[in-house]
Amino acid sequence: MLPIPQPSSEDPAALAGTPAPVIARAPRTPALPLDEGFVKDALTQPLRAIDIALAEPDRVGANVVAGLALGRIALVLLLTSLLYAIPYGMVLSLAEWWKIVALTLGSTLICLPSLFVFSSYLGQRLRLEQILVLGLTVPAVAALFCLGFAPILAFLRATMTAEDSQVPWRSISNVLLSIAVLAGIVQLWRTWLAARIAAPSNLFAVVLMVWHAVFLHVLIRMASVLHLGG
Amino acid sequence: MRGLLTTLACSAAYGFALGSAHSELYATRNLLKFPLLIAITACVCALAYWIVARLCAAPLSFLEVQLATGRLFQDMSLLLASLSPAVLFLAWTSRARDDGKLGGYDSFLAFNMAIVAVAGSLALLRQAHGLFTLHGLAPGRARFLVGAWLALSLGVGGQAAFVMRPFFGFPATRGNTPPFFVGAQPDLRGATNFYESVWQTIRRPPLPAWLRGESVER
Repeated sequence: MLPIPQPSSEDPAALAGTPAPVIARAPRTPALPLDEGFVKDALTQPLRAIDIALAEPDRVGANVVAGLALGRIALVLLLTSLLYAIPYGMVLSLAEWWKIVALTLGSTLICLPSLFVFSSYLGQRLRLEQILVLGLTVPAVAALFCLGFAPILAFLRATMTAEDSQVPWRSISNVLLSIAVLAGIVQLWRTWLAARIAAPSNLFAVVLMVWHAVFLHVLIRMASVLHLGG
Repeated sequence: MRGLLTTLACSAAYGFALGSAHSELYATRNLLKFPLLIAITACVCALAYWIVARLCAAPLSFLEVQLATGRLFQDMSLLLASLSPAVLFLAWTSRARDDGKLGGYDSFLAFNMAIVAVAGSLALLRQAHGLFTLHGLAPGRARFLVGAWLALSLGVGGQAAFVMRPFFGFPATRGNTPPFFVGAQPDLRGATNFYESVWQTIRRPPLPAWLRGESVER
């Protein structure tokens, strides 16, 4: 039973003689985990893979909690990271088609062991598959954003031909890549917040924040090594 | 189809009014350039619009996303077209009174940027409300989604507009017949793309001496 607010003399609705409406927020129903069949289909249906990586953080979080189909989800995310980043790399240069994959997926794979070991060391009982699903969210979402940005970058590259420009297309590309990685990190947190019941203490969130610092440092170094800095 | 025609007609009307500040040549060219600008922006951003919609868990197919963004452009074009008489009046009057150099170029540009911003914001609010009511998207999420669409459109549309210059030149260029699209040629302050031009608007490097009315020693 919700409490009924008493109208005060300063309440305009009460002064007008109409009762103020009581707005109650419906309790949020927990998301259902994705079933095995749906995830299995995503391996052959690209649109479903996009749904898993982008649109269903709550349900993927529920899978992390339930430990259901985690291997397949990790595989979907891995394939998404591998395939959807290629068009953007090809816009950069046909010979550099692999560089965005190396940047996002490579940096994540380099840093994932530290996330697993540190969280285990601090008593967070997350299994390797759970960590894989959470961690691979970053390159998968970044790859999908890169897919969306690829036509934009191609257009900018075609129209920004001056070599000595103060704002060259490579700089815009770096901004787009930063947005893509940021979207991946946001998605990781959305999935984690949906799955935090798997590690109920806030310690994992702290580990995750520190891990982001390491990840971003590795990512920037990787960009430098791959000559993606401009 | 009707929405598409409305967008094209309205944007052409606004483009004509804008170009009238310079000459009939620019005004008539804008009848084609402005609709083309919107079409290029919508095509280049189409995939990114949809990816952002999926991130927001919007229950929209690729086609529905394009229709929703199309409505955004339609509303914006309609609002701008409604301002066309005012823009045309300002264009004609400033053209009749300018000094043949820079004239009222900066203030006309500022006015048009302001009305495009207002029209864009209003279209954004209305479409966000539409997404909220029609597709049951949470209000905050709907606003974020439409805002992201608009930001993408601004980033791409700005560069497309830069390449498709001139839409309205400064008076000193009157009488010339520039190419239909100037492309990546440097603008007055030397910018070769939209982002550089924005950067220079912030830094405000001086204009060439001949535009400031100073004598130039050669």
